[in-house]
Amino acid sequence: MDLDALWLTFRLALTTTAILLCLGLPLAAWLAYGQSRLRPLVQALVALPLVLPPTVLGFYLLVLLGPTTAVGRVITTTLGHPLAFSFTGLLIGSLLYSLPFAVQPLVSGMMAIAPELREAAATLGARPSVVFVRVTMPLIRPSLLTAGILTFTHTVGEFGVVLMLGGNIPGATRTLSIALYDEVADFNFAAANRTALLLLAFSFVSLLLVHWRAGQRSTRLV
Amino acid sequence: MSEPLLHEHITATLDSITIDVTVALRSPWTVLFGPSGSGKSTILRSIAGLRGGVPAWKRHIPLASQQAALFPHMTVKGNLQFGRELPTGDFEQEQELHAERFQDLVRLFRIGDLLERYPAQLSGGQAQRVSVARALMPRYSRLVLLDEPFTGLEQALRDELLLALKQWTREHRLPVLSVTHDVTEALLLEAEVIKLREGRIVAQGPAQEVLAEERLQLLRSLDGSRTFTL
Repeated sequence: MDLDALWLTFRLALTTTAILLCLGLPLAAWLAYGQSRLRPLVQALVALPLVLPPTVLGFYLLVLLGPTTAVGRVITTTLGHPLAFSFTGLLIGSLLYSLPFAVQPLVSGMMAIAPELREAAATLGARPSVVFVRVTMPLIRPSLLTAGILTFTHTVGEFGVVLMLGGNIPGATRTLSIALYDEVADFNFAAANRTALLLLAFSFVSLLLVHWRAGQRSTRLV
Repeated sequence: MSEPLLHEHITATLDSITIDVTVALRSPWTVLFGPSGSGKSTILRSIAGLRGGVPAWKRHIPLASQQAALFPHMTVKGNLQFGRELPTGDFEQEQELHAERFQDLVRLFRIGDLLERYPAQLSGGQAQRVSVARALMPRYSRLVLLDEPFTGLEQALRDELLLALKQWTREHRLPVLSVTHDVTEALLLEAEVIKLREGRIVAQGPAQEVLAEERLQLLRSLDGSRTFTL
């Protein structure tokens, strides 16, 4: 078992999940409650990673963050090194790649709240931020958990984006799914089996947790 | 005539009707009276700020909607205390006044036994009472809007609650605009009545005058039923 890869994968998934939940909440609120005409456009952009081959996303990010674009050059001069083939670059790729897995459960959760509840809160004098914290947030707790689990699991399992954008640098960009690929390429099937089994068990348990929670929700009182 | 408590021009287009009314409230308790689909609820929602204009949270006009919209994740007590404003002056005095109001409303609506329950554990009638009590909790309201507050309650309880509520809102100088399609409710409250038909105001004045025709019909039907039972 490649422990470096395991630790890196864990760090990447955890950071991605934390950042995406923070960014996902206001974005989901805007998608669920906003009136802007731009909503369909943003919805499509958010959902794009669901259907886009990960290598396409990885390719464009690689080009964007590389030395051939202005953005890439600014980043390289500011940081002293390019973002591609670094943990930060990998993180940016993961954020984009896992965005729909964070945002969509939150949007569904928010849209499931009866509008009358937020209206009642508003007429009782609660400003929008108070309504969000005291009414919306507690009521979307199950969706928040689902979003967290799906984002984490999906980041653990990403392959195409990582390979295109991060390459295969042990300790910096070599995640578990890349390690698995390497192990198979080396005909080390025993190691590959251990890595694959770990990823399989982890994904299954995560989804079980999501569905077990969903099952409980339908029978609970509140 | 004195300055109206509220003067608002409301226009709206619903499926079947166009609403175009100017609501001027002068009496402590005003009743919007009209058949279903005459635009009563839309008018209340407009005044509450739920249909544009100044946002609802800046208006200080709580609305108890027809379907009690209680926060499912809070107990009855939590629901009642939701509208609690941040104290502006003397903190202790504010706390005291708040606690007093809370106790008053709990007694008035007979919900003392329900305080620790969650909305899912309440009957429809109980939830409705909590919803109205919650709308009355904020101390700085300019007006309170009640959309068919006690529909579905047993008549004796409803009458008792309405009269107690009428007295309480007068004591606290809290103007009320309520919606009903029930003649007895309007007559019982001795309120000013705004009679609506298809999105237009057709009459406004004391209940006894505006609803004279409905009152006669009601009395006749009561007479009829009495003869029948005799």
